[in-house]
Amino acid sequence: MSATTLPRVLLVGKPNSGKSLLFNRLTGLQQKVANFPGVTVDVKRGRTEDFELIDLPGLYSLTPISVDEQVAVDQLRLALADTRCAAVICVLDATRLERSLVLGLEARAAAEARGIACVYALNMCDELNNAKLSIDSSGLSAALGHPVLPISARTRSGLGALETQLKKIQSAPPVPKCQTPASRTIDFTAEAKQLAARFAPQTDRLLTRQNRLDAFTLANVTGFLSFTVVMAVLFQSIFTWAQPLMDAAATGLKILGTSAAALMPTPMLGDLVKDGLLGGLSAVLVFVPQIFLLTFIIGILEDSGYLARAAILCHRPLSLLGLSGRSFVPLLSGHACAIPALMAARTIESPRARWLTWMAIPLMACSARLPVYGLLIAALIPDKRYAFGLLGARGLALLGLYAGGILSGLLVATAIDRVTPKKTKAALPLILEMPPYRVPSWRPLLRRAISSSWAFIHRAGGTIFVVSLIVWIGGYFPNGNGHLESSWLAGVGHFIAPIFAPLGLDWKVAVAVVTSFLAREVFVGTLGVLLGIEEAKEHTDDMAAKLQATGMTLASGMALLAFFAVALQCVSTLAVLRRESGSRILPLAMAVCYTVAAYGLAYLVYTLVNALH
Amino acid sequence: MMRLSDLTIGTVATVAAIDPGAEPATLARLTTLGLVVGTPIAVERRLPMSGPIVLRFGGAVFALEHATANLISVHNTVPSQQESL
Repeated sequence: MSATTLPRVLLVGKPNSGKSLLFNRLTGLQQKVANFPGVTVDVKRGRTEDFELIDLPGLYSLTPISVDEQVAVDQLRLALADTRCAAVICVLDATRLERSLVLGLEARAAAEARGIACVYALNMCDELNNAKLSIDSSGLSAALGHPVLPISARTRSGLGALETQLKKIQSAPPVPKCQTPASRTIDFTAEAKQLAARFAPQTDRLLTRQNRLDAFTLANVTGFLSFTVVMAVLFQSIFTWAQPLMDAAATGLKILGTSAAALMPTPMLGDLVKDGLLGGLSAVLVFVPQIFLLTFIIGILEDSGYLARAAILCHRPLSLLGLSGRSFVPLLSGHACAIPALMAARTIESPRARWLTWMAIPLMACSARLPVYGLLIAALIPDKRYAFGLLGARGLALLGLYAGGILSGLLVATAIDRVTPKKTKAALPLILEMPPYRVPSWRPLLRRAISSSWAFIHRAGGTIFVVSLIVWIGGYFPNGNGHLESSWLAGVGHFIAPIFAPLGLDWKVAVAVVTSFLAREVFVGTLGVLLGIEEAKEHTDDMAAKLQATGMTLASGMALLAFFAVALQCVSTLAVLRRESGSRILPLAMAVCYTVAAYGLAYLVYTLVNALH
Repeated sequence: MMRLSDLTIGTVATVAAIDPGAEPATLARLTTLGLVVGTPIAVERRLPMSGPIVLRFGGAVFALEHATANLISVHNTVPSQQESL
C-alpha cells in the first residue's frame, strides 16, 4: 500500500511528553524528518507497517496564545478533518499527568466529535517505576472511556501493545460520532485536575529530584560558569575537534578528483571534472564533519534538557536587549543554518522579540560561511601557535569571526529595539516548562545529525554543481586552460570589477562574490574553478595556496571576511523570512540593508588594516 | 500579602489571588497550566537580578518571568524545610 492510501494516526500531546521519541521508535527509519534539531514546530510524517504516523507539535491546550501554538492547533484541526484519519494517540507524561490531561481531554472531545478512535499512551512509566510510583491505568482508562496503555518510549516497553491496539482499531467497526457540548479550556483544566487528584501519584519529590542539577546549573556563579563551559565546548567542536575528520575528507575528495579526472576521455573533460566540479564541491564538502558535530552537540544539549536552563539563564540579559530567553535556541541553531533558526523563532512569545530575533539570526556565523572563512583564513593568516600550542592564530581568527557575529547580532537587535517605537500592548510573558534532566537517546541524535549533514551536502551539491559548471564554461572557453584572462567570463568580470576595486579585489574575486549571492559556499566553488583554470600546470591542489599566489593582501582579505560576515547572501533565508513574517518588504529591506552595511564595513576594515600596516 | 516574587527557594505556599489587571492572554495561559487561586506552589530556583523564578505547580515545573510572578499573591507560606532528596 502506498503511503498516501494508508490510514493516518495522529500523535498529540503536551510539549516534552516524549512524542518525538515515540514517533522515532514507531517509524524507525521510515520517516521524513525535518532536517534539524529544535522544538518540533512542524509536522513530521513517517510510516509504520499499517499506518501513516503524523507527529504534531506539542500543545498544552487547543487554545493557543502564541504563533507557533496557533499553527499547531490549525495543523491538528486540519489533520482531524482529513478523512484518512483513523486514530489519535494522546501521549500522556506519567510523571506530569495533570498537565498532560488538559490536551488529552480536549483531543478526546475533538476526536469523538468526528468519530475518530482515541488511544492514550501513558509514557515515561519507566521513570515512574524507578521512583517506586505507579498509576492505575485501567482505572484511568475507565474514567476516560478509552484505552490507556502504559509505555516507555525510552526503553521501548509497551510499544508492542500499542501497535496491537492500533491494529485492532483498524479492523474494528467505525466509531460513532459523539458530540459533547462545547467546553472551554478552563473546564478541561478543571476536569484534568479532578482526574489527576484521583489517579496521579505524588510526584513532588520526583520532580524536585529530577531537577537537582539545577542547584548547580541555575545557581549564581556556577550557573554562569557552566553555561560558558558548555558554549566553549560547543564551539571548540567547530574549530578543533572536527579537524581530523576534515583532513580525512579533504584527502578523500582529492583522491576522488584525481582518479575521476584520469578516467575522462579527454583532458578537457578531465579539467572540468577536477577543477570545475570536484574542486569547488570538495572545498565545501570538507566542512560536513563540522555540520555533523554542531548538530549532534546541539541535539545533546536539547535532549538532555539543558537548553531550557540556558534559555532562562539568558532571559534577563536578552530581555534588556529587547529579545527573550526563547531567542537563545534560534540564535544558537543559526550557527548551523538560518532556516530552521527562523522557524524555531516561532516559539518566542513576544511578536516584537520575534522580529528582533529574525534581524539577528542572519548575522550568526552559519555553516555556509564556514568554507569562506576557512579559505580566507588559511590563505591570509599564518599557522602561528601561542601558549605552548594550545592557541593558534587561525583558530583565534575563526573564534573572532564567530564572536563578532554574535555581538553584531545582539547589537543590531538592541539598536532596532531602541529606535523603533514600542506599542503600548505588553508582550506575552515567558512561561517555560523545565523538562527533567535526561540522558539523551543516541539514535535520534545521530539521525538528526546525519539528516542535517545530508541537507548541507544536498544544497551545496545542487547549487555549486550548477554554478561551477557555468563558471567553468565561461572561464575555459574560448582558449582553454591557462588563458583565463581572454575567456568569455573575463569580459563580464572586468565589467563588474570596479565595484570591488576599492577593496583591492580583482575581477575573479568579484565574480565569485556575485555568484555567492545564490549561496555563500558558492564563493569557494567559483573561485576554485577560476583559479584552477588560470593555473595551467597543477603545482598545487591547495586552494589557499592558489589564493595566496594571486597576491591578495591582508587588508583585502579581511575586508572580504567582513563582507561575508554581514551580507545577507542566502536566497533561502529570504524565502523563509517572507513566509514567517508574511511580509515581502521585510526580507527585501533586510537583504539590501545588510549587503550595503557589509560593503561599508568591508571598506572600513580595508582602510583600517592598510593604515595599520 | 506576599507576592510570589518575594518567596525564597524551598518555600511552599498557596495562590491567594492573581492580579486581574494582567494581560488576558497571560491569565489564560496561567489557568491552562493550572495556576489558579488555591493552587499549591513550591519555589524551586530563583535567578539573580530579577531573572525568572522556577516553580513547581500543577504537577509540573515551570519558569516564570519575575514580572509575571509579581502578579501572583500568595498565603499560607511555609518556608524551606531543608528536605534531603
